[in-house]
Amino acid sequence: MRRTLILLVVLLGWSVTARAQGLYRITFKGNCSGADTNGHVFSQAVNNKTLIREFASRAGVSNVHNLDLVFHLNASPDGDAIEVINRKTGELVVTVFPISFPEVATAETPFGITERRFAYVYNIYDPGFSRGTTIINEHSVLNKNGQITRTVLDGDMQWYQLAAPDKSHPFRICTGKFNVHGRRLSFN
Amino acid sequence: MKHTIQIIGLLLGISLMPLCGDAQNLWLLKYQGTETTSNPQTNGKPKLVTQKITESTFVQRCANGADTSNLALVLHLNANELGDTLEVINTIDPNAFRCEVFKLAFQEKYTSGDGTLVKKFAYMYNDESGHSRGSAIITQRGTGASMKIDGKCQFWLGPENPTTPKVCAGTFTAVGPLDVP
Repeated sequence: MRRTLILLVVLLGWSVTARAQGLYRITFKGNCSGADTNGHVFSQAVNNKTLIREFASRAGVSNVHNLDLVFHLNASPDGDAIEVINRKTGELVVTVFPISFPEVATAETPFGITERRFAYVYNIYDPGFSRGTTIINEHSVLNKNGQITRTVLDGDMQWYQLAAPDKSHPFRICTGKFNVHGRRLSFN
Repeated sequence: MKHTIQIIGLLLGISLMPLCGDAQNLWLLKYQGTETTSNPQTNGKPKLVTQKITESTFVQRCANGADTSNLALVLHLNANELGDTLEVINTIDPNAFRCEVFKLAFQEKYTSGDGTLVKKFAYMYNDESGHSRGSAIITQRGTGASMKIDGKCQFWLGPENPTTPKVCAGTFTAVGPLDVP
């Protein structure tokens, strides 16, 4: 695959203060399917709740009460990420999907920047190669000083997840859509 | 790293092999998608330009100005040991013209117990680089000539480290197996 998972080290070392600049609440909806050991095909919904529960659990966190799913713009020099964070402190719990090595088509006007980008999707629990792709549309509104005042973003993702070693999750092929909404998150 | 650039030599060799085998490995496709890139305006600022892409687009690009009569976009199932391929071929004689659009390689898939449903995730490769350029999810329902096949692609085009990549997304549906004499 295109690149190795050295970006994981970068993501884990990113400070809360620096990261808070690019965190946005996200709504994620999709579907995964696979076949069980008996050959029966299953289908399961994927959403904020299921991603938080699955990935927080794999990170050893059982209490998901104060957790949120966020889109982290420019999470690392390699790109963005979808993350589970503590919604009160902004502390990173686990990176669900590093979204890296984007290829970007850009439009600029005095009032905003629009991007449509392709990126590779990784999974820290299935390391080594990309495990999916996503196409993201992002529009940033600029004020008269050229500062970003608002960001609108949506994405379409397709990926697969290998069976978990403890067999808690089977092999699945998944598709999903997401959008960010609201203002950029900030934490004291 | 699983998918190294050494595959290019293997893939080139495979591409030169004559097309043969069961006609139900070749499926005529309809494709609908978009291709978005940045173009500079007169003021120097880039703007997004989105082009609709169909199966005809792939045919015309492969033909490169030549006659496109009898050419069609097909899904070639089990084209080689790496997986499937998207190709433009001459539907009268596939060996007379064959242009590989994408390899759909290194697939991860599941199959239902009765074999009537196969769903695959494939990495898309073309001749622009040794790295994957995207992904395709392909669903095959049923078996034999009545199988229903559809797919969804996300990929990018352009040389490595391009200033203006083309961001592409689309879906395809098999019209039916190619009846090759």
